Amino acid sequence: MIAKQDFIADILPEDCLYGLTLRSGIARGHILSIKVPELPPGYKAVTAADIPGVNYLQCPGRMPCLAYKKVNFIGEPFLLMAGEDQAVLRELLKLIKVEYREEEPFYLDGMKGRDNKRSRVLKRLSFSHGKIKESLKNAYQIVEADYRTAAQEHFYADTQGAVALWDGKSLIVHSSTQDPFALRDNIAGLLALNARRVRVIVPALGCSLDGKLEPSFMLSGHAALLSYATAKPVKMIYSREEDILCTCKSPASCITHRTAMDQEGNTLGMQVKITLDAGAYQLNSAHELLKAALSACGGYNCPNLEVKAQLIRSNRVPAGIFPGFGEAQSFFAVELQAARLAEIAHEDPVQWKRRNLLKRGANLPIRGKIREDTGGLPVLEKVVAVSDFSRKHAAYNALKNRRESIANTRNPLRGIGLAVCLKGIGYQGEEHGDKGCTVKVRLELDRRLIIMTSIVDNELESSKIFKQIAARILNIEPEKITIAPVDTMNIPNSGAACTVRTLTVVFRLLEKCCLAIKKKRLTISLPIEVRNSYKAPEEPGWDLESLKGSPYREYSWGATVLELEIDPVTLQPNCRGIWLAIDSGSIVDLLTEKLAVRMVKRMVIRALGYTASAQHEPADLLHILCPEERFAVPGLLNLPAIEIHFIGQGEARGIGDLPFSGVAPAYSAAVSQATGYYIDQMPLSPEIIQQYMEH
Amino acid sequence: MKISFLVNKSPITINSSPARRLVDILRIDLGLTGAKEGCGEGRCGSCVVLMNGNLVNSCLIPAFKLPDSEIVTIESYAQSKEYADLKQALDDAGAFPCGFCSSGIMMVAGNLLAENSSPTAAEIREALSGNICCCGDYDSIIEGIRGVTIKPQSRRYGKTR
Repeated sequence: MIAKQDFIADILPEDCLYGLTLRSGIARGHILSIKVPELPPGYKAVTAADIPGVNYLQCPGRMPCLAYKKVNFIGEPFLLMAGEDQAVLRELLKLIKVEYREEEPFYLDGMKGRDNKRSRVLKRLSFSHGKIKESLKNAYQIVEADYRTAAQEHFYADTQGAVALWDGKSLIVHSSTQDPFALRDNIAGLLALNARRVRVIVPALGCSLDGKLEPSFMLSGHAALLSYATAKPVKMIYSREEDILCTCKSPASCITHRTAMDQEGNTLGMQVKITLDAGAYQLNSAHELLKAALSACGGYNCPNLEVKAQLIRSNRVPAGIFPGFGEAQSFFAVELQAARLAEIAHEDPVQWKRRNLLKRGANLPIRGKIREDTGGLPVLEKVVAVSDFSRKHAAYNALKNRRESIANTRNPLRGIGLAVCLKGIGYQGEEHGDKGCTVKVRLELDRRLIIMTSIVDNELESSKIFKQIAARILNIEPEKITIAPVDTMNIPNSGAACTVRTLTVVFRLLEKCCLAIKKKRLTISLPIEVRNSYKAPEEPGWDLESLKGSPYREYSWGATVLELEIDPVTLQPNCRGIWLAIDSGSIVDLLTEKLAVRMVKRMVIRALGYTASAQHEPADLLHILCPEERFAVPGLLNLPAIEIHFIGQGEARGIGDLPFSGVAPAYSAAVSQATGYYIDQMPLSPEIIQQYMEH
Repeated sequence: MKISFLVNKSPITINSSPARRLVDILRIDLGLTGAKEGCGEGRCGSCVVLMNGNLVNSCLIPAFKLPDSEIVTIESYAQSKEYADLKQALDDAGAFPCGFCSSGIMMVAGNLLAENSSPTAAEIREALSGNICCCGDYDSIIEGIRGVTIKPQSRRYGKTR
């Protein structure tokens, strides 16, 4: 995969027009009028009134494709324009006069996080276990704290893009999407076409971190509308500014923990209130809320538990899928609370975790049982040993205690943080995302093997692993194996490309297909074609209402240690090292150790980028000038040493987003130790650390 | 304004507004899509080209700076034997899972190797400090670039030493 290949921005059909979007400049209000100037020949404007089908995109919640009369976030699109010259289009957009009636917007922040105004609550979840009130009443100490995470940007390599070609009968859409079939169905609905008349082709896709789902539906829908209106090919590519302004982020969160402790520092009960910010429209955030709620008490023994979770509508850009999927927000809160509890109990964090982490075979408070061969303790012990955590933690505590004040010190402030997280693999509730996921394999007469799946090759390097699996089972040279281009006309629907599904479902389906071909080769002549679909259990394995069953098929565990130092003058944190121990079964056998380590390392680097990125208000996004603040992906010069250790045995399980859950709380715990201030938010720029020291 | 300059040794004359970016001229006007636009603000280095022998981010070069200059893009570098060696070494190391940043990084690595035939890992880090791999796959990139310098003969003849 080197140098010149066709990404979406490289595709430019003959006679192609460009499309641009006019977006709301206010966070909340009504559009009273839109005055479009007389357009030169060849230029065309499209509004919601011109949409032939339904004006919404479903992914799986709905949001308008183009706002009609009302806007709900800065950057919401309400008018599209196509023409041959982008510079002319930009000038024309500036001439459009829009009259708004502005209303007071609502944003979730630390103080307003508990806002319960009924109209803003999109969904509530609550469940309990044991006797929480009694445990709080009998507690020796109650520790209460709020933890906040801001929305996180994907920072994918290439920005969103789409090229649509309508020929009067059918539509071809080239789109940088991770879910071509859902995109096809959305565009068919938008243009009131039969889905068979819409064909989606996915070009090479830069690493996307689940950022090419909901936004790709929106942009491809816009390109399709313009192509339909002009009967010409239309190309739309977001600039990085536009991409950051209007595409989905992770949901921001505000989580309150109240923990009852006994005299020895053991956890008697936890009361957790979770608020997630869905943004202006609820897309995937209800599912993220559920995952956040299920992870509320982390991997800890909690005899009494009460979880109340709510999803709030705000006037920020809609939240979308992001690695961590609600769990990262929950682990950030529970792991920082655990670090605080250990400190209050005057105990080494490792000792505290050893006593409070769930043991092998134990029942999780709300989520099934831990397998006998796994758990949090093995990964904890491994990461503590390889990072020399306990010695460093004690040494940095001693340094902190000797220091009179940060203002008087010239030496770097040092800290080390620890987090233990788990990841549920294979959700077993009613909305089973893997249902119908299909893979097709064809062995040709000349012994070439073609693998057909809609899983787009991305940062997981799935194509490489597909070939490895097929070559191993069928004993075919890898160069004779090809992966069919992702084109909805020719491949089956394998669902959206996401790491967990690819690892735990698609690879297994491919294995089954290859084994079936191996068996048929003895009796049937070539070519042989086999397809295999994932069959979800008839009865859901988990019922949220009654809390019966287990929400996940299995769990993977990960422990993270992060060591950093902070410049005492600039307060710039500098990460010195990251260690991860992961138990996700024999994942190394499936992927090879090199590939598995690389995959996790990449996620660690991306998660590290978030920790120090700046946080902006929506209005600021319109005019941020400092590039460093906008593109928070670590470069080579500020990259720490990263060590990954896999310790699992048994069947391979997904690694999921464990690095995204572990790096942020370990980072904050390390900053807490270095500065001596309880840190309760993420991301942490030097300005935010300064604020902690001032207040 | 009318601008004449050399692109990959071919003389080019275009009409362009003075503020038009070199990356747009290369990609849209000339169809040279090897240089990619990532961040559009000089941070990611995906659009790196050589301008008068110096590495530049083409998204930051306005058209009025181009008259009489000489631009070399990845399309030209890809014709060289040095590129083939570098590509093979990076392929062997399994670098670039998605490939988006590859042309910028290969331009920088090629330039580094032309000046220093056996750079250390620290020198490679320094040279690539203006490039971002959004996949975060830096280890393989360094391994690949060092691979060119460590074992060019053995790779070519299938031997190890």
